[in-house]
Amino acid sequence: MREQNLVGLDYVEAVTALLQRVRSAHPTKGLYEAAEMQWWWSVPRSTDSLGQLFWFDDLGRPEAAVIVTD
Amino acid sequence: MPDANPEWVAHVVERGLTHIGEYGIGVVELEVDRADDVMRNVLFGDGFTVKGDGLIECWLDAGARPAISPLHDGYRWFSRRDTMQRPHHMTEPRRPDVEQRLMQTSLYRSDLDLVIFDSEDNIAAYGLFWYDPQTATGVVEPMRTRDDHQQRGLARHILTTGIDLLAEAGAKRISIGFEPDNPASSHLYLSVSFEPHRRTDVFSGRTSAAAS
Repeated sequence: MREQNLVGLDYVEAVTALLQRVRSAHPTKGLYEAAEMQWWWSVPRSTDSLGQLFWFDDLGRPEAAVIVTD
Repeated sequence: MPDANPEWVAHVVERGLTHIGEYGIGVVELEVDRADDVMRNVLFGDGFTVKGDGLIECWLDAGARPAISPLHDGYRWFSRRDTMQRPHHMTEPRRPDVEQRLMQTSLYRSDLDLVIFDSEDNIAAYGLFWYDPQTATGVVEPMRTRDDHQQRGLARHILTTGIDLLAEAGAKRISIGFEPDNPASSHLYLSVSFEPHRRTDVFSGRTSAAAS
């Protein structure tokens, strides 16, 4: 598993891919939908410039993330 | 991912709290599923406490959607696609560039961004509907009726219209959430066949920044 920090729209794109993977794997498990993260992006936040923590598997697919917003 | 084992969940939480602490953020809050014993136990082990109610998450089978409710006399609805000559209806001090930022996202669609105007072209209500073609799911976020226009069925109209548009786009299931102490949202959403699926708590706790 590879750790990587992503900032701004790069993190929005990656968390979208992660949550789409989650929803494709199970119809209801997981707290959030990809659209909710995209809606959160509509507000400028001090955390926009922080690196958000992701884990990617050997195929480069997002496996987990820790997203912090204010 | 849904198949994550408890050890991996614990690692992600611990590493995440350290990471956030490195930014000088000392206290964090997060929503946790009341049924997610693994996450709850990890957080309790890190000294987190339940601060209060989170949300009630509901799902609707698009095939069970109701008919579009009538629109109250004197009001008209549009999608954002039809109102581009005006400032975006969700522009506010907290969201000064809302349209610019929405357009940066991959799932935003102006034809699913709905607004109701009164007879004098004042914004009365709005709802934003998101369709994810990769998962065939829809999301409703946010919904709002301005105070002067409550109790006229505007939220029901915009919700049932948006749900119908999501279903036409291909959504098989649609998600919406509300706060447990919001009876108006609860009544509306449950009355259009959304079914409660999950309830969350808000957890609060300290990162490594606060501990050091």
